[in-house]
Amino acid sequence: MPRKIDPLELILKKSSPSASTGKNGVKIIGPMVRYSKLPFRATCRQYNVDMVYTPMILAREFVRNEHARFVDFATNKEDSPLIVQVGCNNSTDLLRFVELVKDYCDGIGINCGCPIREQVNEGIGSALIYNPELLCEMVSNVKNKYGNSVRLETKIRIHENWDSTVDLCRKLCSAGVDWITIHGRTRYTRTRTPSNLDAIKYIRERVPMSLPIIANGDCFSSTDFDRIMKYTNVQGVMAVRGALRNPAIFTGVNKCPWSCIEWFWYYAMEYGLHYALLQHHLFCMLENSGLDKDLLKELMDCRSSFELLDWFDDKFVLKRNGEVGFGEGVEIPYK
Amino acid sequence: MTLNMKKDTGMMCIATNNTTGSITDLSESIEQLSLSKDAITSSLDLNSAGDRPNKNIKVIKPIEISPNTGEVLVRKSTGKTKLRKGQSQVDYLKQKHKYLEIDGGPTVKEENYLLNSTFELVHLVTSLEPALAKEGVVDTQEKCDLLVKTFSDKQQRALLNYLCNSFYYQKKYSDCYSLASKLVKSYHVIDTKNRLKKEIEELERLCTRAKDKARGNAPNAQD
Repeated sequence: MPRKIDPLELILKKSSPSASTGKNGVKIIGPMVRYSKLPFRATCRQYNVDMVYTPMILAREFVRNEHARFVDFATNKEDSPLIVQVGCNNSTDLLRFVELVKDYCDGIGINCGCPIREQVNEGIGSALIYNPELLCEMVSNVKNKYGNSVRLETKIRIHENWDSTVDLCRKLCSAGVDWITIHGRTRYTRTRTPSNLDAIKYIRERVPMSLPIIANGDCFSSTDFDRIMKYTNVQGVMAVRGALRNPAIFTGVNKCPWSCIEWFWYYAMEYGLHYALLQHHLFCMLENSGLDKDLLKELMDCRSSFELLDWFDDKFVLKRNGEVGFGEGVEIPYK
Repeated sequence: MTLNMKKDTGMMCIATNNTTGSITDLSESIEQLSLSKDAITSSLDLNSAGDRPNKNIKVIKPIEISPNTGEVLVRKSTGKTKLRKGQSQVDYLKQKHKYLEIDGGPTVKEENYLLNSTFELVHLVTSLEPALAKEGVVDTQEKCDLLVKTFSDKQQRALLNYLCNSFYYQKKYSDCYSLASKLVKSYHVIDTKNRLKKEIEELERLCTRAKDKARGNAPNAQD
């Protein structure tokens, strides 16, 4: 099933000014630990998305363990453009990981933003922005081996001192990275603190324009997308939590349409999904749709997929694929 | 044992004469070497009004033990060290061959993935059904061993569980009941240590609901 869409070309094409619409920008749904599995990615792809990421996959486990490979990565030919995100702390694991997945995705992203202590302690995630020598070595090793046949991204957080981030971006550019996604928070910034667009703008202004920069953080609507694009002058925006709540975020609708829920149910039941993930996704989407809190509580009280399905069929009109009107609804169809 | 700093990466490299030295030996040696804080921690960012910059001191750089295997030593915030074992080239090539040549890459999930991927498992359960239905036990040790071998694999059980739920979603309640009830019987045979209790209970609840719906007794059965 090898396939190739060049994500860099896509970014450049989508971010070039268009005579009719002005500057567009690439619309990306980013990686969420545990949650960006195939059923969710497939749902997102129904709604005007340019590129989707897998959840972070730990290279160390993936190259050593068959079970990890089975659990962590599944795909299909519609699952494209796809960026596989990897967590790693050394070049050997990264090069091996790239060799195993490069033909089954369109690009690979190194996670340099995960703030979770367990990963940082391993030198993975946001620890890498404080270890630029190692990060750049990993990037250049991959690019030296594969050149443009493997597109490589790094998703970083900002430093407390923005010039450190500028310096890191320049080094990564020299190492051959294809594009950089910048999350506008530091390793310690809580999500309740807004993403720092001034920092992203500052960095964008000081890094060569030939290196695409994608902004990440607090994109919850198409309005946010336009605002972030305009303010920071980046080449695209990555939505993560916003997409979890509303996979149709880039279509211009400000709350999750019912169609998302029907598509998600369909893909989850077609490909299989762990119940806890199914429940969490549906909770996030329905909360965003404006479902009453008492009903959300009832949803969370369900203990298995079939109980949840009965609950849905009891409260709403949940159409199955093939039925008239499947995947078209907007408002919650209460019974 | 010697300790070197790699110029390019700032990564500490430990060269040991005895490559089979124990983890404890390595850890103790690291402790004894009294590495300077600057060598193993990241530089501090103190120039901005950012959030808690002093905490960056806890960002520890992994120490590369063997550059060719990915073996690294990581230091926890508590100060303890932990060795992440490397992977030999031989083992990697074995894994690579298995993944790319035998498995053909990642699992490809297309339409009817669950039906196709569980075909043999469902066939096995169905073939053992007569014996299970009659006595509640399989009649030969061979069959019992086959059941144990097949269903000890959590992934296989998960796939079958997903298939049951998929039938339920598609309102194929008879198919759902048929498969779930066979699985309950099979799991009872192999679950001598009560480890599958939760899975069995959930399947039993599913059987009850699917049976009711198949008979048209349950609310929404005719939806």
